[in-house]
Amino acid sequence: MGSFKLGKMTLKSLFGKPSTVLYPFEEKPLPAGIKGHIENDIAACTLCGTCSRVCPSGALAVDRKEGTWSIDRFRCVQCGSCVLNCPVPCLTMAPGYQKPSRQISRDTLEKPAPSAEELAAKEAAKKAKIEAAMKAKAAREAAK
Amino acid sequence: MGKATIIPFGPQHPVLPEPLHLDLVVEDETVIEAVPQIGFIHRGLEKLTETRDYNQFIYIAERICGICAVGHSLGYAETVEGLMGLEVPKRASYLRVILHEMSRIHSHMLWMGLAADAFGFESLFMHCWRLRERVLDLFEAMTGGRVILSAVRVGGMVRDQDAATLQHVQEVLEGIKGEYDEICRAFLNDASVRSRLVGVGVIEHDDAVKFGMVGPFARASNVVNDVRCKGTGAYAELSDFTPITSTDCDCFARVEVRAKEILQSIDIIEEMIARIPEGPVFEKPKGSPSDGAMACGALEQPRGECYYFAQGNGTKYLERMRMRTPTSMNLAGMAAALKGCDLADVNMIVLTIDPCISCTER
Amino acid sequence: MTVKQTFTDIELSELVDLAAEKQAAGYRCVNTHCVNGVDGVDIIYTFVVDGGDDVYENYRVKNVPHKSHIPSIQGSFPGVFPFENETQDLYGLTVDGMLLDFHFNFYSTDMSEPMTVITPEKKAAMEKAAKIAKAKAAKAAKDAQAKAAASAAPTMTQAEEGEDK
Repeated sequence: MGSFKLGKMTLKSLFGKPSTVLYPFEEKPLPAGIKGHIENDIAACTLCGTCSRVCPSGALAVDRKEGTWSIDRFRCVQCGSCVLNCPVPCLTMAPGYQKPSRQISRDTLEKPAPSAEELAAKEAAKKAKIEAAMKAKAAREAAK
Repeated sequence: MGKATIIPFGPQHPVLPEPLHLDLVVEDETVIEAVPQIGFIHRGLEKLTETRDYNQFIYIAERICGICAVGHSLGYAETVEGLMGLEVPKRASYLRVILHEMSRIHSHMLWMGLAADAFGFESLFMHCWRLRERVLDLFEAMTGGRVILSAVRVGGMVRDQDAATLQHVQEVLEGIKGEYDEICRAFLNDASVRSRLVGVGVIEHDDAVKFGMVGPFARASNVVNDVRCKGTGAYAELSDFTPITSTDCDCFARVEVRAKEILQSIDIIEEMIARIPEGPVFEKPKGSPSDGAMACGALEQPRGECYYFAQGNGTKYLERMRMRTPTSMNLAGMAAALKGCDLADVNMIVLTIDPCISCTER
Repeated sequence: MTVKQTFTDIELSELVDLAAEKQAAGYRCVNTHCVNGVDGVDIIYTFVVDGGDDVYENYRVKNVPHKSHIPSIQGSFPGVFPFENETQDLYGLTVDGMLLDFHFNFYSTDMSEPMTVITPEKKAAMEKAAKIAKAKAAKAAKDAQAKAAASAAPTMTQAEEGEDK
């Protein structure tokens, strides 16, 4: 017969806490930096398109003219290339995997239209730039 | 003399972790010949180098196989770095070795659980996988993923690990060592386990050399080939390393070799953590591989020696990427080991080569 | 860093003798694979001996024409049957003299010789690379010509100076 080789472990399993958690009633605490899904801070995004170029599965699509950034979450393999290569950076990986669903869908984010103050600020900056350029030109002519 | 019957084994079989088909020519419960056939999981991944550049392809290389994921990403990265003449920072190569040895521990524990399940010892199977969960939790804390880590990229690593994480790794591995002792005793000293493993599936040393076998499968037949002795990456910095071999040449020897390799890997990780240098973990690769350049690399994956070959063509897409996995070399040895065994031992012998057919067929 | 490696080009006729020589010297065959090219298929064989110099010796047979026959090295290395059957299935070369021959049924693929198909993206990439290479060569030739003309001119002025003196 021999001795019971797994005796210690078996006794521990009988009288100790189980090694598993009762999912979905309890959830395991997730460590920091776990992979999940991609989120984009669209206000800061410059729509450069680098993320869509480095994505190995072609999940991202950036349309500069329309001002949209969209992701097919079912194609995403959570590699993190887009987060690593974003020049701004505005992309982050947040926990929570895409839940199964019956239809494939894309998540599209649209860049918000600039507000009235922002437009005015842009116009003022443009005017200032033109004035500075004219002044520099006048200075060069005078020097000649 | 009995009549010869052909029994098909696989591709769907409870004991097989991956689809493999064997035609067993059987005469009265003794297997005369076994003809292997693979091809059920061929995905043509090597052709994807045409549409994914060398930075994106690493994510495909990882997904060739779930168990060998770290190994493939590491081997691919090392080969492409050799092709482009890129020098990886030292801290990155130490971290790569730590992750790869942890992957070896998890793979061997997975295998030992499957072997226990194959001869019917289900509680041992559950205990092995319970210990393996701790290693997967470590992977999750270090890289964010349990099985497919995406932690290695061409030029270094994606993330650096701080001292607290490495300390935690050491503590968890010490905890595993304590409980693992009991599992080892159940595998190596238990009479019922020994009766299933000792003397089964013998391949002599000369046959092992003839078939070119690699990995623990070959080391159990006293063939000393281990790429970690060849000194690639941070393995060259190890103070001393001797591959674990056994002279018994049977299934029991293969179990013994893998069981001891887990302890050896824990020692390697502790040495690496103690000596890891500070520094950056990533160096950005510049340009593309030059036209006609070729480079090869090798890595000791949990299943054996894995050979990689990369050829460039001047663009950011590689001309050819080849990954030759250890199981492809071991198929011939497996077919030879099956000759003359009992029908009931077939699943044990097939499992002791640690088949990873999805790597073999890419 | 990766393992020590060498790359040598050999002829198809030398292959079987090379395999026999390596086997006698205690090498083991690590890998056999093919690279598809426009003119033909390159086949690369790799051998290594453990415990020695640990050098991975790669031998390349260049430009084997598509759909031709090549000899098998399974006589010396019986363990390479998966690779030679793969060569048959995916690249369309017939391997003669195999010990374990699956007759084009090893991987049951939907199309025969899939690795020899040149996809439209690959073709476009190859044409673009060829165009860039041609432009570079033309520029290099032009630069070389200009350099030759420049080095010819000073010798004439030196001769004139000598005459004046």
